[in-house]
Amino acid sequence: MSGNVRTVPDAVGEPDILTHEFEPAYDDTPGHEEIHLPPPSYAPFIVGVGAMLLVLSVIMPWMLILAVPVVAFGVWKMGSFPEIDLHPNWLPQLNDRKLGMWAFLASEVMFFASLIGAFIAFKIEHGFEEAYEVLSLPLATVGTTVLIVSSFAVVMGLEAIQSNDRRVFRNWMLVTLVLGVVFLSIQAFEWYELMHHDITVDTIFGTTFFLTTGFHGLHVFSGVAWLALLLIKARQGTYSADNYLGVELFGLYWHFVDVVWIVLFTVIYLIH
Amino acid sequence: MDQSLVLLILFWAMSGALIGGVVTPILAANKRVNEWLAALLGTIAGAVGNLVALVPLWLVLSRRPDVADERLPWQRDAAPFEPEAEVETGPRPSPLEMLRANFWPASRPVHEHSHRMTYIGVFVALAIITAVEVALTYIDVPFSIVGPLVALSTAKVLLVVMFFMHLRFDSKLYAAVFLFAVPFAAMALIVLSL
Repeated sequence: MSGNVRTVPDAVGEPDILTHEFEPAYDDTPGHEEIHLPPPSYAPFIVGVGAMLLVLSVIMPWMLILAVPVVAFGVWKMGSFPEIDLHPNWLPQLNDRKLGMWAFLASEVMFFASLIGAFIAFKIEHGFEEAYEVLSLPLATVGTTVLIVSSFAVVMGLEAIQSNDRRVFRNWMLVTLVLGVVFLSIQAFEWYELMHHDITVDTIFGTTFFLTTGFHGLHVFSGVAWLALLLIKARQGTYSADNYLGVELFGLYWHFVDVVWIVLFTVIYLIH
Repeated sequence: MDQSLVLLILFWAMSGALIGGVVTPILAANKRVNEWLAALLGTIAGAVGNLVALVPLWLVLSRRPDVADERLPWQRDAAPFEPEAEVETGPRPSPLEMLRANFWPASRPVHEHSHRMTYIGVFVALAIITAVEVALTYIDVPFSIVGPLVALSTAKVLLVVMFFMHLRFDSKLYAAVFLFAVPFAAMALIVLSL
């Protein structure tokens, strides 16, 4: 991580140690402190290229061999970038990263609304009776409970790190990680059951169901990966009562995924 | 890093590669896959998989402090045979105390308010609402349950957004950014489903 931080330059030339008093190469009198900003990161660009390769791999599956390492490398670089909080000049009470997160979540609201709208439209038209004989409400209830408990675990972890309680913070975050993986396995089992009963993407129910829950599952998967990165950074002692914004941003994302599932649970499983 | 540790990890990855390289061609025997390609991919998957399997262990283990051992080699080797100093340990903590130490966030400094009880209340409310929702679908009621279900899940969404996502306590501008999207989302929903 220290490789990204520009360090104070060495003294110019070789000072004569014997005759000169030691002088620091930088000026730290009040008003003249050096500002340590990391150089701009190239990681988002790498992630962008990797995302493009990922999309290409839909038509060329072998591209995955290239795309996954590129994305993983870029995300790793982004994750190891030092966390800096900048406040815009025009609204100093706002935080740039948090504002960006909320804007991203707003875009996600529209994205999922269109997916859910498509599901409702197909359901009104076709009824999906044969699919509801296979879908298991108890299993989905377990999945919902798992996600809600994981959301609760995140807020408790955030509360702990805000009180500088690192052990409790890490424990709750580990709980969240485990619950996220459990949710994904429940979903995998459900998909397997559906495929087993010949409900594939070729049926009308399949197209909307797999698209909607698949995108949600993709979000959970990204959340789990993000959480793994966050746990590694927590191990390195990045977070404390003075610096918990990274945890808070992850929490916002994770709660949003939870919110989407609450809606999906109602629309897909409860109402029929 | 410790050299012996590197060796151990290397052996671990190699054992995974060995198993992957042997098992994958056997599994792929009846499929139309080139068995050498299968062996190669199995080797890579085995090595990488074994390394990935170590990640949880690495996360859980606590790091040993880097203190240089000043003792001579013979002293270090003899150390296990010396009688251990009596360490004063208190009574073993009860399971409840351990749970509390590991999962109950510490309280904030005096002038700040802790949200612990709020979070627990919201969590209980979410659990109850979910139970009611599921119960509604199992019980025969004379009226349509669509309306109550939509109302209950809206309440759940509001609870999560307001309290877990701190929209209630944070600057109203974040809420404005987020709510900006809601009319568009509603439009997409209405246009698609009508």
